[in-house]
Amino acid sequence: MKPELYRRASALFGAIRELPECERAAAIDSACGGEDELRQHLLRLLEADGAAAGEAFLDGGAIDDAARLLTDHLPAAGTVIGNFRLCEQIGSGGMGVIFRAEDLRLSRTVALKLLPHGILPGKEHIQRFHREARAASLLNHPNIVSVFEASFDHGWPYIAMEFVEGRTLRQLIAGHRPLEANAIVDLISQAASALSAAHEAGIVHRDIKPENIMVRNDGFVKVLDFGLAKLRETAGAPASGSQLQTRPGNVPGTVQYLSPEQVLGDPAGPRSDLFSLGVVAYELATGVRPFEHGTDGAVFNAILHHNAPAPSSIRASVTPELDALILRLIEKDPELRFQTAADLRSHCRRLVYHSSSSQSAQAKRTGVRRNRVRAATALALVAGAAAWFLFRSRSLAPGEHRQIVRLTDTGRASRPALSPDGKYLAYISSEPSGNSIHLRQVATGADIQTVTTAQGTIPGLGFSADGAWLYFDRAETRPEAEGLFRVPLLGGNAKRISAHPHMSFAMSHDGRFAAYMDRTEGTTFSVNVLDLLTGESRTLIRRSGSEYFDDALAWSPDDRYIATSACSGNPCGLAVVDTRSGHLRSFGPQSYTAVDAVAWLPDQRHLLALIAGGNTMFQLLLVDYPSGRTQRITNDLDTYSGLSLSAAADVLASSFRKFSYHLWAAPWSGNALGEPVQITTDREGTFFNGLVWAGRDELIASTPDAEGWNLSLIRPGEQVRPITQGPYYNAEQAVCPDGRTVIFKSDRRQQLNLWKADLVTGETSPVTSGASVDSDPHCAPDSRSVLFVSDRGGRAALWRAGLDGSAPTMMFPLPGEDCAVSSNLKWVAVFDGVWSMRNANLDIIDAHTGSLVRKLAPNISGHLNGGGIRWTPDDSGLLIEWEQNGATNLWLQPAQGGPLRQITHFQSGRVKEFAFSPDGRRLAFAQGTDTTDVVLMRDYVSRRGVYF
Amino acid sequence: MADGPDSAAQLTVLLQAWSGGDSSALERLTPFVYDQLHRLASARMGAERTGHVLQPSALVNEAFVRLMHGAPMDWKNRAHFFAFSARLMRQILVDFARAQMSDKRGNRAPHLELEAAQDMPVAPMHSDILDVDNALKELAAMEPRQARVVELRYFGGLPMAEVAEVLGVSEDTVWRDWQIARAWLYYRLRLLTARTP
Repeated sequence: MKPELYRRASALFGAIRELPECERAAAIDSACGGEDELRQHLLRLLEADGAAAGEAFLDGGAIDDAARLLTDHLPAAGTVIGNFRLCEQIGSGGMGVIFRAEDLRLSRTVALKLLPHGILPGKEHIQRFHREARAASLLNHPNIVSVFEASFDHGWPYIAMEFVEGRTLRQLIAGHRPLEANAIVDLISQAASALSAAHEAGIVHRDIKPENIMVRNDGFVKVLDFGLAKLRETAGAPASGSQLQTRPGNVPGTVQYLSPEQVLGDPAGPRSDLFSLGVVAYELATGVRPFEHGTDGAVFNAILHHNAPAPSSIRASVTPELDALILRLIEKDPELRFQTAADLRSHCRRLVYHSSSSQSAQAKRTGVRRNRVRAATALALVAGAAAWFLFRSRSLAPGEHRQIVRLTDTGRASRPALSPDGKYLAYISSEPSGNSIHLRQVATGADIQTVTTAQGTIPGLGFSADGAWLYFDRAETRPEAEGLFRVPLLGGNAKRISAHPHMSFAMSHDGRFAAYMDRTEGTTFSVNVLDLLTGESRTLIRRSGSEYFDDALAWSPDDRYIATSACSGNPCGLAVVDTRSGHLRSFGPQSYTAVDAVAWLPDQRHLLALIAGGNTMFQLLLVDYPSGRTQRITNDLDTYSGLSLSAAADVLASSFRKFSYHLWAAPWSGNALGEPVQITTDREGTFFNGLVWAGRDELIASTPDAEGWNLSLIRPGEQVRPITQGPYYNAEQAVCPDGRTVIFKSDRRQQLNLWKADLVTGETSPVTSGASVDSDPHCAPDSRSVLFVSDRGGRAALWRAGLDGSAPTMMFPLPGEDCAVSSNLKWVAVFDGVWSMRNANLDIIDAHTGSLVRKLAPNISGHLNGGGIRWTPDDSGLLIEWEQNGATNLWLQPAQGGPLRQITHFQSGRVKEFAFSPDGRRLAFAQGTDTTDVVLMRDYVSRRGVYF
Repeated sequence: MADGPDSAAQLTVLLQAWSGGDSSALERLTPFVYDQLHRLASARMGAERTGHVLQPSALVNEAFVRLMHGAPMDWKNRAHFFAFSARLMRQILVDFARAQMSDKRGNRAPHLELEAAQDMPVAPMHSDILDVDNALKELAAMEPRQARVVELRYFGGLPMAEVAEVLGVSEDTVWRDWQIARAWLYYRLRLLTARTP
């Protein structure tokens, strides 16, 4: 096109474009006269104009066109990126698209974030990506989403991270009315916990916004996307080579949540995250953002220069405390904000605590002003003293008007600890991802905070005598998170008191000492006292071998004695240890299977104990001290665990566990399971401690009944036929190849030895005897002898005994107690060490020599849940009970090594007992759920009709 | 850059340096543009809520606010700044598109050499950026103001009011320039090439 012609066409174009279509031809004619070339030009331009407008040609801007270059060709579901197979897209944000994906190596679900293709054009970008991903993957905190891996594939940079089920705060804001003040403070508190851990590791998030904070359905907060965090700029660090990392202005955030210092391009420090969190809190409280404007430029201006109105001016229900908290977070001057995320968290906890205390006062005494709370407290003290006085009186009896209130309904709450004033309850909530300690206000039934979490277990939990501290023991996969800790109830950081977790602990009444139970070298148990003032620890008494201690521990009211349970092989009984001499004195019946917990009443003349006899699960008993006379308080078919009393002993907390399991069977061939069919159909379900095939279509199961644990023969569609009866523990059975001899574990002579029953004659007789625990019987192919595990040599070993009653002989020691013998009798598989999360190695041992053939590690996420282990019929692998994502299923471990493969696929609950049929073509198993909830009891004991 | 009364003076110095061809100007703006690109890219990938990503027109504003620390500016400097930023963005985006296109046509970035590059599906890529950039040079020879309007709007992402402010003409004039320039570019890039392959 000639410039001159274009200029002339341009000059005419505007005027002609304004005209209606039908008038244009005439206008062109009159403008161009005989100039065909000009006419052609105009017509072409008008044609192009129409098409360009229709396509919105160039309307998006060059930057949009450039961005398109980065994002074309999003991979389809099913594509394998790295070691991950993409499933559906589940979200977006934080610079990329997020897929649910399957980790092909570890058979777990992950969230996989794909960053735009080509986002890392140079070496410097790649290094930065790796640097940030590494930094993020080092963060290990329960409120931070774990990063597993960051790499490239097919040109896509990707980050694989923990898959979290829940909602983002964005979804929470969009879907619901504004949250209540306490809920907001709790969310902020948990997010602050995450930030605190990251900041301490030198990582600033820089992009805190509602999309990056998730809340699981149980209220647990998870902060995402520390992948964009950068190592905190150290003063004077920026050098020419690291411009991309430190350059001001290269802010990867969303504008509405940026801090003033980010807007200005200054390095974003930890307090910048606090500002962003404040904006999030503001939006949670009010539903609107404090610096919302039409254009981003205006948003920047508002962030820098405008003060947001108080949240309470937008929504009247915002409390003054929350108002002040939020406004302090969004102070423009970082110096005026909270100085650290830890400060913020402490502040939040105080807020929750105080607001709950005042609510509790209100709940109890409606209309009573706050300044009367002090008087109410004094009254409570008087009431406590009265209770103590009553306990001082002579004899007590189980309360006839016992009141039981269930305090939780998640089915996952256990091991409660009551604060001395009875107002607060700490308990353990067991989640698929780990356990956490929740603090609940008794009066309102509301959880007020999550104290801490563990990737492992929390074997102990208790308040200090003054109620100011909560102590907990944590057994963990992370060594730095293990040990005995204490955390202030009013908020603050947990402090580690000792580096190793214990079996259990108890706090003295004077607040000075912690007693703890330790198990060392597998079989040595000790009762110890730790001086919290000096940090010194001394051992009061040790027991080893078949002489051991159970978990129970409690200081007497005068702190002189520690009540516990001492066992001799089995059974166990109650005992006290004198803290001065270390002397142990047993009292009461010494015939229990186990003692879960003990607690003294304030008169020092009675104890409460949770005790399992041979025939019952754990039930609550009232025990006179020192006479040992016992009275039963509860008599349920299910079981209790944990025992905690308020200081005045007027309230008792425990947890009640209910079992609901059913039997299933499925065809087995080629190391694969067919469709399982449910065999037992009673509505309630029960619990199983042993399952074995007795023939083609018969199973022998051990289940609890009104008297004890008994074996019965189950044939689908027929009446269950009892094999054993009576008040004993009869379980963990095996059937001999002859099809008529059942060998089982029983305490019918007090000790847990092996017995046999003849299925034809119904006769039972002992196989082993002595002060030992004999377990895991495996009948020999000739049906004349039995292999079993016993502690009779002082440590776990494999033994052999004749079924004719001949004396057992030891074969070789074993590294653990749960084992299985292969059907060709060549190998023994045993979980190496006492069962625990950390020690899930499976040893394959030569059954003739006892030497180690191979050590197998599961190498996948999850952990063992139960000691069940069976060789597959062809001896090529082992089935074990493995918990992953909250469900315990059967998994196959190839005997030659390699990853676990899932066999059953229940989404929840637990597979507990399992057995292959004699022909190896069927697998039977028990599957079901245990629910545990915290219960409070009042009036559980009485004296002459007076209830506490 | 320091806060306080010196900012305005420093800005003037900076702008002079930039318009005088200081190469650091390009380096300073590049991260803004790349960052914006990535935000847009993620928005496109996930259809993120609008309003969570910078509008294209705000990019220069953002850079401006950051660089100036919010110091008040007179119109002349502001217009000057916008004009200059748009030119820099054009350069950055053209370089970026060029690099991307060569990437996708097989000249891969170093990190991709180790990956299974041959597995990657290569679809025909097209971007208007390079074509517009070339055509604008022709247009500038015929109607320089129209070419500047396209540069400010398409590459710089400026709203029409600010384009008018930079060029010192009315908004109506700018709109007319945009329409005819766009029509010509469409003819040049789409119709002409289609007719004369």
